[in-house]
Amino acid sequence: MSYIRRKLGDLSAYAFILPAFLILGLFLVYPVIWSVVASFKDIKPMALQQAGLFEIPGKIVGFDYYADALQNPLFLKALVNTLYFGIIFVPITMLGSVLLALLVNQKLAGVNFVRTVFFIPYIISVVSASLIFVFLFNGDRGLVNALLSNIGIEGPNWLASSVWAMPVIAIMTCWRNIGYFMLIYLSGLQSIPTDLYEVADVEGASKFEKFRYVTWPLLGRVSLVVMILLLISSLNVFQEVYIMTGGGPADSTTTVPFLIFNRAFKYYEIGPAAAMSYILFVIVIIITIIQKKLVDKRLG
Amino acid sequence: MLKRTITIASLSALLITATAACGNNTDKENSGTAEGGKDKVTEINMQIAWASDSGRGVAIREILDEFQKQNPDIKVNMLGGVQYGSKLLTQILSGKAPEVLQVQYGDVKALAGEEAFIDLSGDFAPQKDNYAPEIWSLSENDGKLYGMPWIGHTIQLIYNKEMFEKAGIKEAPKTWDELYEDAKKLTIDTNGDGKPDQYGIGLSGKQGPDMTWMYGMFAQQAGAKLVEQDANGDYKVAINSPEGQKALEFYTKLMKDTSPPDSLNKDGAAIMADFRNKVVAMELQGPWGVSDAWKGDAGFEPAVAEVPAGPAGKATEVTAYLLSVPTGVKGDKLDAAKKLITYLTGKEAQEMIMKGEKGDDGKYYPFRIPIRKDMMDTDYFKEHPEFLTFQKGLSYPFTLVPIPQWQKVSDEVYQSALNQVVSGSISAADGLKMVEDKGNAMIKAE
Repeated sequence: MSYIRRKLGDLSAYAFILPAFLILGLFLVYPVIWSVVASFKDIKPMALQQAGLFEIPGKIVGFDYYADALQNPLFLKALVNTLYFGIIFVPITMLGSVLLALLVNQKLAGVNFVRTVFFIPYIISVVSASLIFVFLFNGDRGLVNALLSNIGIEGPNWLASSVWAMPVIAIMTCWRNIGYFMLIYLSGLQSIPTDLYEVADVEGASKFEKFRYVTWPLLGRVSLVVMILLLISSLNVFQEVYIMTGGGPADSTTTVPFLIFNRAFKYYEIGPAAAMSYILFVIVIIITIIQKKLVDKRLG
Repeated sequence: MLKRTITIASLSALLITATAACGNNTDKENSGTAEGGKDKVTEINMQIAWASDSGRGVAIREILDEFQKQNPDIKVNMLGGVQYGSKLLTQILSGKAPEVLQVQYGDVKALAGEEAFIDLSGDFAPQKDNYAPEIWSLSENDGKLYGMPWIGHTIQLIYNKEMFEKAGIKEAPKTWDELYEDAKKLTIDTNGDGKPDQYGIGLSGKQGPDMTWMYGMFAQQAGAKLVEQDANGDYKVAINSPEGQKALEFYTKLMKDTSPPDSLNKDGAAIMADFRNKVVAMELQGPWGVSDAWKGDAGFEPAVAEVPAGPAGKATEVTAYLLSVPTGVKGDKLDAAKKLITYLTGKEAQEMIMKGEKGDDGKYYPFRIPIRKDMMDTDYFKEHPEFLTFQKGLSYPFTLVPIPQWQKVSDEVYQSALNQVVSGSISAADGLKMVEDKGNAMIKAE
């Protein structure tokens, strides 16, 4: 007993963390374990009715669902589409939020109002935002094409074009998210000691040089967090696609979560949906590790 | 030390209790029946596909009130909110699903093989003759009846009479040739800027389900089928046929020449808005298309005609909401549920459906039609022949999801192929070949 107490410390502490452990265990850890096991099993939905809480019914199929997913051309296309979305969405949102954060970090009259205005798109529902952009980018009567025609350019039928549909969805998602990430960057900017800028002033640094050598390096950790959050967002893009294009044209906006949704919630294929989710999960982990290594290398 | 031990023991007991509480409890029966001889009232729940406080919910509640008046021993609680896919499954798995569920036939078919619903054929099979065979088959799976067809829709041609008159068109088109000709006549430049701003017909080109039912109707009008059984009784994709190609070429041509330029990203709802806003003169819609023009005070009187006939005759998309009873309902509750379904599928309640939902202006607007085929002699249809046209569609139905596996073929191959064809990326022959090859592989893998 004394050995256990020596190893574990005060046992009453465990009693206090037990409720949190219980909730996290049941509603977070257990579903994760359940879905991992499910990805290796052929589960008949109604079999779940007879199964107990800690029982996962179904025949074990090994890695079949993982192999099926990786051999499914639509899944591979969806992966490429998802990455394409991320390539547009992540840099634009990062750049936009840094620029806006720099703008609203100045001591100007009405700056709080401006911050609020920039944040508003984030609280607009995805459905409303998607519909707004569907109208804006309407090929026939949309505002964007009307403006382009004023300068003599005939705009494309944006959402019906397999080239332009995904960038439009990405731009809409950027617009919705920039305000939120602006706030994260703003908090990062406000934590940078002002004396560093004073030293830079003494050294005669220009505004760009101050940003290049002081601000941006000191926002490194914040940028890592922002990048990871953006990456997760980009790999989870679903509602926008569902509303704006339905995955088309010609599957050019079909993303992995879109396929997972159909498999799990429309065809009740729990195992294949779980396998697709974990392939996506592994990709997220790999990219995150690479990102972290790059940032660590840069920041030492 | 003692306090610590008690704390740990209490929390452990809590953990065990909570875990046990999450366990399966299907044996426990909740009869909901107040015992007491004459006053015995069986209480059941019915889930509808719309919000309970919506116009549709209120309309259905009125029908249920009438049922309760005639059956004082049964109380029906109406629950709103559409349940399909995982939500429907979770409800059924919980063992606490409402006793009567309004479910789309596609959702019933998807779960019927899993024995998620009670086979109703013992009680309702004699009613088969009240329905078109195609409608009845929507509720069957392997010879078992997993729901009774309740309400639904057919799609017909809704047109703007005023625009027809202005264009000198005296009656609605009856054939594909007439449809194309009329749609061309109605595609005009009204403001003189050199580009048409009024179009003949709204057609969907967006990758999604709406394009599949629109094209599907034309395909069946041409004599094509989505699937057919081979000599071994296995289903194969059949849409890649000369008839299917002809229909797809006609659909593409009609859309290109007579629909708004942004039709490639339009679904049924966007087309309905175009019709209401006088951008298109014709649309293919269900009864809600007429109600929408009425409600929106569009400033014109919509008229309804049967869909034009193709080389093989008429065909229209028909769908039905079924009334199903989830597995696990038994005893008095099952009897009450069956009694309710009997009432709701009877002529009296079916006619009440046509009263429609109350709009903001206090008027009533039909939202679905009764699905029985013997409703044409009722007063409502005599007074509103425009809705009778939808009822006629029940005699030439086209089914969007002929087999459960088709839903996946449609989502993952068919919709994309149709979109690529109508956008001009690939030919109709190549598009339908793609559907055949990939679709057959998917059906085989199921």
